[in-house]
Amino acid sequence: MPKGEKMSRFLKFLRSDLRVCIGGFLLVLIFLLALFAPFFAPYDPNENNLKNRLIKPGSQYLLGTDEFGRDITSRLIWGGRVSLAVGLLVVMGSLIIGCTAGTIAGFFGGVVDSIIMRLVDILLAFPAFLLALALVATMGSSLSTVVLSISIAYSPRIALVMRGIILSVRETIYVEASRAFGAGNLWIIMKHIIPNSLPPMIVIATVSAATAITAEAGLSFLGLGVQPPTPTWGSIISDGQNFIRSAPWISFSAGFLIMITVVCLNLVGDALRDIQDPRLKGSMRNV
Amino acid sequence: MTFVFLLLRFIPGDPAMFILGDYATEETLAKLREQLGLTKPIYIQYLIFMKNAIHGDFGRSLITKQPALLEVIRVFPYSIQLAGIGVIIAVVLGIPLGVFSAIRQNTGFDYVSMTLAIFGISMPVFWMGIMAILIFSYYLPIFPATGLGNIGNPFSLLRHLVLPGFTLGFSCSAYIARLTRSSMLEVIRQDYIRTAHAKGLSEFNVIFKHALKNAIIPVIALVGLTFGWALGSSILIEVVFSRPGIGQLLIKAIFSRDYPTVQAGVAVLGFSFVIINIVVDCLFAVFDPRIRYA
Repeated sequence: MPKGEKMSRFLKFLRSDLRVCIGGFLLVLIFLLALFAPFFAPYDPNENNLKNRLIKPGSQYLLGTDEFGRDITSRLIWGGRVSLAVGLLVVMGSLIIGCTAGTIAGFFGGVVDSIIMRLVDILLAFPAFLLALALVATMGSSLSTVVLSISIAYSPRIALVMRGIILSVRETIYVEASRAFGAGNLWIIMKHIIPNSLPPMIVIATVSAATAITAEAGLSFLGLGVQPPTPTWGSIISDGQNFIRSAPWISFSAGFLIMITVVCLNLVGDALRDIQDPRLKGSMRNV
Repeated sequence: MTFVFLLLRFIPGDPAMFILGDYATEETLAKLREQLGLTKPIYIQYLIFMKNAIHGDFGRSLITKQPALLEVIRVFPYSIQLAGIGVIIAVVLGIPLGVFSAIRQNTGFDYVSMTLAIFGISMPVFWMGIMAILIFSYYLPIFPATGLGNIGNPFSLLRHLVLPGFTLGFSCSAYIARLTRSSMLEVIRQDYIRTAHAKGLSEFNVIFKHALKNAIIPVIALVGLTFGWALGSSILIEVVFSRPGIGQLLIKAIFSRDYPTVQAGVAVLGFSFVIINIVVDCLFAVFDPRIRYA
């Protein structure tokens, strides 16, 4: 099938899939709100106003205020910047680390493969969240360490998938033919391996973004994420936990926003996975 | 173990300075460096660490001065208890939900259960815990919100386990339900299922004796992973429900920079994860004779 036709069928499928439409629309909305936070946020997210502390959601403060009188709506919009940035950066980081490791291991094989895969095994011996937590605990809490830790924690799974793809593509006839024509390793990787690994990697990227946002929220909730006064969705839940009886809207709104964002990413991920596996096309059959 | 060793070495700069802070005297810094074994070359440090770790010696807690591993082992049963209850709830909820969704594919039940599942996997587990406290401890005061309960009273212990257990279990059950459904859908289209129907077997026998037996293999792998995930997530659940456990201990140790305890905690959790994977591999052979004879 010609490339252009393949792409147009792909886009047509995306447009016809309700999950992509709903998930994609809400994701774009959340992303735009976070990107243009200075325009959409009604108040300064860090401005204390003790006169207006713990005000219920209403016309003045759409989602209420917290214990320092800070507007929750504004904090959620600004907090989205951190959460979405972590999501995007972790996807990039874990794809770079995982794909590089998987490609080198799968393509070159032998001792290099053994060394890389043993390192992957070491990292896989820990639940990913524990691994990220342990790394943040030693490297300190900041945006860069949070991104690096979550990326390292989630990259072994990507390395495994990438290695599997490479092992299957490496033995194909077109790679052999390319080699017979004198193509070098770099050419084969760029021209054959990477294009073949892109579709499954896009699916993995979507799911990774969802897990990264939840992991960042978890670290922030424990006080190990991006440090105050920068608002993050996880830290807003944590702030609200102490006032859960008197001001449940603080934790509720932040958690609800995380849930909606992650649901949207999972919906888009599910739809993309259905395209990947034609046997599963048409319904939410895969995991 | 190698990762646990490297953990202390990931600290930028001098780990002793990082732990004790900028105002520590040279004497206390030197003492801590000695205690942590940082004065020797790195490969010697590694060999000593491995030798000690094999003997269960991760050093002494910098706070309580007790052996770090002992501190971890003291609270570990509470975490295992929580993760175990979470996984049991996940299996009890997830497998039937997945099976019925598959056999009633594209019906209202299927859509509702899979929508619930996607929300289940998307909710942050700690937020779900806070909402559970709000609803079932505050608005409807049925279950206690925090603590472990009365150690001598099994009923009290169980009541205190309900909310954290269900929070953890609901989240895990969503993954299990989705995989069970996906696996069942593949199996119920096989020829041997059609043969079973043609032989006149009851729907119950076809689904639970023929289809589920074959569809369960990937689910077992997920249940094993879920146990590891539940152990990792119990860190957050223990903080939300103020339950003693390895999570609470780790967080306290991280904030007080008690690295021997952090190392012991991470090692114990990692070791448990490995043991769970071995048990899962053995279970494969039990459920799938082809693996045993291969």
